[in-house]
Amino acid sequence: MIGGAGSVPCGEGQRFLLEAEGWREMAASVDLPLRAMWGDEGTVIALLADAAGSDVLVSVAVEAGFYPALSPFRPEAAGFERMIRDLWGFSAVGGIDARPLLDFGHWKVTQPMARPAAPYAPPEPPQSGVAHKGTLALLRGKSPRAAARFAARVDGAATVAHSIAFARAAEAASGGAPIHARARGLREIMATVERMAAAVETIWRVAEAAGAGVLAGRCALLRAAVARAAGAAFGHRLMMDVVVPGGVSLDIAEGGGPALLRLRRDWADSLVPALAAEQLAVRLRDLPVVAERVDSALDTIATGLAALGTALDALPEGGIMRAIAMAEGEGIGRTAGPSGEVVHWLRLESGQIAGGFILDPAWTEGPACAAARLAVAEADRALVDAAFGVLASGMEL
Amino acid sequence: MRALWRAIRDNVTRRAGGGAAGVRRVALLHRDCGSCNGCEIELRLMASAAHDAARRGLMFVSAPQHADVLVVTGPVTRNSQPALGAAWDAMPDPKMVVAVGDCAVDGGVFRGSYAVAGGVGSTLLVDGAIRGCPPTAQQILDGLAGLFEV
Ligand code: SF4
Repeated sequence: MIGGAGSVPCGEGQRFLLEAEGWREMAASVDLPLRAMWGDEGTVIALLADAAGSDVLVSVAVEAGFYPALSPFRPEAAGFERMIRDLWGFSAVGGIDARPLLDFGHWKVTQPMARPAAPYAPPEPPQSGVAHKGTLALLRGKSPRAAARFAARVDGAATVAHSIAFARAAEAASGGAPIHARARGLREIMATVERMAAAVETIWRVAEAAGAGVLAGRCALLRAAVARAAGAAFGHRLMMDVVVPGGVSLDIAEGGGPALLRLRRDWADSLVPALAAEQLAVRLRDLPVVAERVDSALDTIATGLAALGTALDALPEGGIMRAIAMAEGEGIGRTAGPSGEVVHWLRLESGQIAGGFILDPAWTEGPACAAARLAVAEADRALVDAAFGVLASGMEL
Repeated sequence: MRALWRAIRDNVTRRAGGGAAGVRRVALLHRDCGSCNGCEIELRLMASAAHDAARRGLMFVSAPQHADVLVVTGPVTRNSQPALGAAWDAMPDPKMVVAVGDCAVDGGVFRGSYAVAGGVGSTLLVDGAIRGCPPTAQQILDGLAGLFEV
């Protein structure tokens, strides 16, 4: 059914343009998981995944401010529909939840992504949206290079991941040559360090919530060591603004490789014994969701340490930056972030961003955490929160 | 401003039960007004075993009623303004407010967004500012401790 509709190119793939009828039918009958929905000029776009996990991008025209809701068939669409109402002003007809998500009347405009932005409407009491900074509107009208700093500030714990996904979307939309191999290698090294840092933070938070003080203290020292090593290698402790569309803005510093590899010793010296001493696993035995996340964090650190050595050895020589073409077009970029996959979509007009959306894992992690909290005793909820560590800024943009 | 810090310190010393040497604690209340989490990462490190802010007299509390200093991170989003004002109003006198990170200082990269009021100065009279995006844990510690070691 989807294949029968018209389409526009999106990077290497395409976005299918559906009639209202086809859009509703897709929601009701096509059994592909819905990853995200967002608005663009006169249209609402949905990102689905096919059986192989590849992107299926579909959109429907908005008529007189309305489009058919997907939430009656796909409850996971409800949050996106609320966001689209607040930012673009498009209403989902027949949607299951009409409450605001981000706009509680504190802005000087309503529907800030609509063109032109509508005048101010009276306030409602806020329940969410405190972290809403207007990131999507800040992207617009800027070159990908200039807008990259906003992508880098969606979530400080995933700044590298967001920068990579954003850069890939811009690179796909402008249809240029692939980035240099050295830039790719450096991006991978930074992404690995970032995932390790986030994994240490997960264990740290859980240790604190579990009252495992020695372990928490060791985690703090190790997190500080990762920040120091990242700073020595890439000039910024969180590696912000290093990944940019077209490559990376600076090369790894001399001594950066050895600084990163020293983390292997810090890990073995500090965390392994503390973990054993605190017997965290025993404490978490009745909380499989928490235990699983700690296990996976430990895994991330161990594989990360191993991967760093290989990646540093295999780092190709050559350039790190390639200019991005001043193009027209749209593209999707994605990468594995510390708490799940990060996806960015961009539409460029004469080399400037005309539309964009940022899908942070918080959209799925938030509800997953809420569900996991309900399944455990009240006293254990802090541990579940610690294990998930969901950040509102990622979702509220 | 020095006088204000001295007032806070004397007040805290009294609360701690006397003028014993070395008792000089400042209770910090942290409020995130829309941060990207970068400043929080450094702030958590500052408060942790890695930097030991407690040894320099800085400790975090969770209730405004027990706080001497409000530490604000993030650009002050319009949605967060009411809660920021409420936290400040609930703190007893004498009290101060410090902006941590470029966003809290003047809105940082988010300045000018429809959803952002600006730095903390948009909402409260700011007593101290620590720049950086984010400032490092050491810079935050030195900045905060430097403010009250008059
Ligand atoms: S100052 Fe930088 S690190 Fe801190 S909240 Fe703002 S963007 Fe994030």
